[in-house]
Amino acid sequence: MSRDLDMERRRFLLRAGKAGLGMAATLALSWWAHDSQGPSAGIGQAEGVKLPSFAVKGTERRLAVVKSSHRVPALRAGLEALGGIGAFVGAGHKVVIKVNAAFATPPALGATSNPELVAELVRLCLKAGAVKVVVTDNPINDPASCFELSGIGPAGRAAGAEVVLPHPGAFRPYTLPGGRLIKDWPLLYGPLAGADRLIGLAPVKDHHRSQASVTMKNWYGLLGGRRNVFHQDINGIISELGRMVAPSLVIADGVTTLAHNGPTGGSLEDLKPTDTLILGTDQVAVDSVAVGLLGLKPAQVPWLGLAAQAGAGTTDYESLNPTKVELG
Amino acid sequence: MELSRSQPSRTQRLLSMAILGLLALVIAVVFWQQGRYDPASWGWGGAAGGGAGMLADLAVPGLTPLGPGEGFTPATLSDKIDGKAELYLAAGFESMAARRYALAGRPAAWLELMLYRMKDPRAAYSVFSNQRRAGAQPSQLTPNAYTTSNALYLAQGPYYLEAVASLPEPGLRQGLTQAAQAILAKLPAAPSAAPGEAWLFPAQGMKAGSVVLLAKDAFGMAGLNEIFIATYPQGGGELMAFLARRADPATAQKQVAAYAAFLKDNGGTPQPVPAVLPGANLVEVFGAWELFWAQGPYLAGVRGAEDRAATEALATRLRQALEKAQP
Repeated sequence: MSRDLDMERRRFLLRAGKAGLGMAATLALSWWAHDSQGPSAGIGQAEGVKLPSFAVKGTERRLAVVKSSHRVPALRAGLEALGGIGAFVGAGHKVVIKVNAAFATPPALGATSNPELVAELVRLCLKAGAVKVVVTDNPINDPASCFELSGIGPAGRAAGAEVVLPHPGAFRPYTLPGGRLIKDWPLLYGPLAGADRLIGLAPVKDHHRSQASVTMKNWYGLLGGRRNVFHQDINGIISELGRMVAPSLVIADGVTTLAHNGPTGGSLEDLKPTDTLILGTDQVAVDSVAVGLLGLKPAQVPWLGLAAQAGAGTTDYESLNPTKVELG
Repeated sequence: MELSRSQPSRTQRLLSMAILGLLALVIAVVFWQQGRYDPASWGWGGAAGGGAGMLADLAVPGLTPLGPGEGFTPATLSDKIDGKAELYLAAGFESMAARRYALAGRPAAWLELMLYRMKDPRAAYSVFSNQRRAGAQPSQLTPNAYTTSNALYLAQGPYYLEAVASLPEPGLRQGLTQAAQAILAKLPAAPSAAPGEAWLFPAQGMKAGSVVLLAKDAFGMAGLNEIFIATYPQGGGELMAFLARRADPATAQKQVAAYAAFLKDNGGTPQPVPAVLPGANLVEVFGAWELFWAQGPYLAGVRGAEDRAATEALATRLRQALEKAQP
């Protein structure tokens, strides 16, 4: 009987040992096969990038609100109120203008940056001494159609800019430090590489998911990949975009506002004349003024509060003592 | 005492082999899946792809197609319309075909057709009615159609059409109508004004074209789906009536109770119910009145009005209309 018990013990130990070895082998195999980096970029650049600050020292907390129904004089007046284009762009600079060319729709529908405004901004940057001005975006629709049909491409080129369309090689993996959503995500980095200044130029729009789309939402066009997954946390992603980019200047075009059925609109009846161009170096403040054109208060727009909490700017735009210009 | 190990039975052996086989299959699937590179999830996003479906061979007199067109699925709709995709997906989106046309000899004068296939006529009506433009002109093309200065919108059966011109000019507006007619000729005939129970709203005093079907989370309450609303101008403001038919009276009652709780959670104060509407719920929410009830399988009410008497009057008319419908 003792011998039988001994045999059983030996058999048990043998089996336990085999099972342990099996589990260890499975774990080792899993460890070997595990890809801690996620899928490879497959875009020729595996290494991630850092996005530098494009903010211009000494221009912090500047804000101008220009009332006018004409964009070009409003832009000139607004820049003048901020200290002139020379406060932001100098000799030899490479300037990137991030437009909203999201949709292949005509400029009259107000879903994209206004081409006249793009052209004038390009001209002013070149006049201030910029050696190169790049106009870029990663649109929602086919990029070539978007830039052509929105009028942004022809207008930018005619004014002397290089219009850069996205292509797979222009994207690099990017992780927002402390970010919850933007992790190892493709960033439209190509046009930004080597840039000295970054200016955001966006129309003021109603947005079905986020209530409003202005300058911070405009940075969505710097993301690649299946970015529509971020629509499930639209407030979170816009606030992270506000943290991701420290621009030299942002401009919100509310001369005409896409007040209904945004962000695409479609009918001219979706537009409302609001005769306002907002310029500033605090993008949260600029967007806080802009949402007022849509009948919203900053407190009603969650992503503004989140961005302010995260230190991207202030919703209390009056605290910046904005310069108000009436052009009639 | 017999301590010798018993041999596993045939069933145990088969079960063990099945489990091991399943594990092997899981491992194989994991390896196979990891080995597949999905360009859609990495890189610049790329084109959505897909054909233009019903628009692929659509010929419109006086218009020249600009390319073959595109097609979109629930997974790619946001590649076309970004954040507005959620409106369609919530209502029951199945597919969308888009194609551009230009006036013959004038490539700058173009229009785009976007034909949405929704899960049913209610879903099509929902996206149509939710985006109705203020000041639009009714079109004679279908009972649910209107035009604006540069666009034409219509719902027909499970289809919703957006036809948008690049310029507000007569030639393009004519093109919009002709394109819509060409599409309607391809669609099955479908009798529809507002589908479903919306015909029960009292017609007198209702703002024309104001019936909207809220597909999901109506009035901000999660789970309050498929609610028709209609607007009634009142003095300087407006009253909103709402109505929904549920599977049975118990479901309607349950949703009424849930809505009452929702209002209470959001600052509403229950008030004594008017005698003319026994069984109803009256809630004051920051100075506005909400009066609602279940009536047979219907959930109905009037909301958002500051004029209590007007709220009660419209609620009474709606209740009478429902009584007539199901005596």
